[in-house]
Amino acid sequence: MTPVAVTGARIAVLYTSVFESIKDVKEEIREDMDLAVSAKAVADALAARGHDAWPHTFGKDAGELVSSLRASGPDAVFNLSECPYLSPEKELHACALLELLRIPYTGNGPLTLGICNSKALTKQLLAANGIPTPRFRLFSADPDGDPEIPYPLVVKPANEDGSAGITEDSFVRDLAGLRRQVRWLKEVFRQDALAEEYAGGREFNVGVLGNGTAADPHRALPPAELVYRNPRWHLCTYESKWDSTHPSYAEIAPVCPAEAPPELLSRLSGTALACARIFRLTGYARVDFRMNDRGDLFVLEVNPNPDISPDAGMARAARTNGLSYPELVGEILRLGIALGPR
Amino acid sequence: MRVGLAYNVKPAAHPDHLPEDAFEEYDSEATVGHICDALSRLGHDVRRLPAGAAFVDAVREAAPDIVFNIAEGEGGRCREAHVPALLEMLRIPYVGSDPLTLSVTLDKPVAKKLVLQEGFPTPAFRAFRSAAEFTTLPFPCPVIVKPAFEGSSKGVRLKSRATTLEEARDMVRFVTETYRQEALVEAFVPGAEVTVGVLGNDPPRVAGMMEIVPKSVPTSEFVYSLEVKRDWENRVSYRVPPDLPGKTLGEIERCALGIYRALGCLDFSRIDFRLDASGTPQFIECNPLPGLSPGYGDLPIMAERMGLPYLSLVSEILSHALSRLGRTAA
Repeated sequence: MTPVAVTGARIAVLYTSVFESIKDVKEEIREDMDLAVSAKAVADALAARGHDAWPHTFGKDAGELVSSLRASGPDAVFNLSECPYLSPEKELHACALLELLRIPYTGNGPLTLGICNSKALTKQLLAANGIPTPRFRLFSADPDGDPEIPYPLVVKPANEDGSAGITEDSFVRDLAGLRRQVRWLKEVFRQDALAEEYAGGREFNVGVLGNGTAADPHRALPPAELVYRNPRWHLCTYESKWDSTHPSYAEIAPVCPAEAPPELLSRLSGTALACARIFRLTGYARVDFRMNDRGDLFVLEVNPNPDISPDAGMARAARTNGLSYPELVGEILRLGIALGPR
Repeated sequence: MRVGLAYNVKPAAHPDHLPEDAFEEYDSEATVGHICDALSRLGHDVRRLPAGAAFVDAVREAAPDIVFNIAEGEGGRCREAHVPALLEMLRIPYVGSDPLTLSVTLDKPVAKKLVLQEGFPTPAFRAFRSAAEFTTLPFPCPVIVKPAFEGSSKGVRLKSRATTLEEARDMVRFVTETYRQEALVEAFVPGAEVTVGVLGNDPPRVAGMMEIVPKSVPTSEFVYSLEVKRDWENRVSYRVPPDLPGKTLGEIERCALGIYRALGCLDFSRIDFRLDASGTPQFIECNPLPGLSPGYGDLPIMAERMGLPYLSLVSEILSHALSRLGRTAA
């Protein structure tokens, strides 16, 4: 296979459409979550950088996806797909398919996507590498007694992307609240619940770019803070992220770069880079943190497929670092092409 | 039932630009034939499904009720995940572990970290991206140096056991340049090498344990390398069951079953240990796609010697998958 030029490449921007990947979402905020909008923004950015780029829907049938990819013959795929077939466990499947077809693609590979989509596995790997993360318990059934970790707890679906399944009700102070949330997640998401200690305090995140190779080492973008302007809110939820009509949307505000001492910014970046190596991140990702009152940092999540819309945190951090949106998208593409078929 | 067999076959000619063991994990045509014969003798309609870029076409055309997956895949560190991921996308059931388990187990550092976190001992180790990155080790020599993302013996040579930092650095250079991936440097465990075959789910069972006993070198220097495996009849004895105290065998069994569960293995797997100075089994590696070559693969050999002939082994593996999937062998 001849090397693909970094300009003039044919790029399919692969995405899962809104009706395939979004569950129980209010009508008025579906458009904000529609990856078709992101795919178009990415395709436009790639076109601005001299590529022939087009949105390419994942569809409902893998065989048809293979046929359509072969027919259009992309040099590489810009992979934005999420939760194919309504299943977060299948997040790794698109890139595994692209590997089988020997098509280079952007972003993280099957191992990273698979591990990071399992919150329990993520926490085990963090703990095994000495990275602090809140203690947790998994519940597949109604908790029958105290969970052995102290309240308050945050109750999340065990295998879900980002803030899905996380509402302000996810913050629980007692056994009744824990039971209510475990039951709700079982009914609505058909998943086990992961209950973790509430770390409290300030919330930060750090975007990472790079492949972890000698040619493209991991590098941290400027840390951002999610500032809780109203102490009523305890955590960043689905509503605060996606529902502009919800009061928390405006009252939990991103600030980038975070207003924090250099030592703290350095610790955030250093820990994010350690996570990048541990989780074998390629392309781009985001590491989410909370800091308790004593100044201890805890990794909440490693997100291997963060939103890269023009108005999202990743793009904001890149702009802070001097990368325009087309430059960010172009860099992510270059990183994917640099890895070749995987 | 129509059963597809997904596999990668060793090419007849080995390209010069690749290491001599580039296709070591792939199956021979003979092995593929043996498994197809076994499935046919069990009454199934068998379709061969070579696992390359054309696999998607072959599997759609064959329309199997289930796929018996032994494909190692082509490409990088997640290659074993390709076939099961596609089968899930096509909603075709398959035998064996899922894409996540296959990806995790092929990444030795990640697998070892997870196993350690679950409370099972593993030798101290460090991963290095290049010889330049290798300066010192936090544990003493001798060590063994191997590729970080390959199966059992691929990349392991007699010289992989290093007794000095200089030797270790040379092997890190060999591994990182030849296999183009990180090198895993692991404290060398001098005791017996034992491999355990595990079958089934809910609960899994130990189908056999086999000690690999060197014939002419001390156990404390023995490396189960590519050279040894290719000449195994002259170099090692396979002892089934191992000649070890009952308490040790019990501990090996406990570790094997615990690791099988912890890593999410399904239907069948092989787990390798070495015993440390105090007789504690140290986890070396988990192979969820163990070789099924009769008379050559470790799992068929130990199963046969434990009274489970080859046909019964294949039958049991398939039965576990069907049972887990809630299906019957029609």
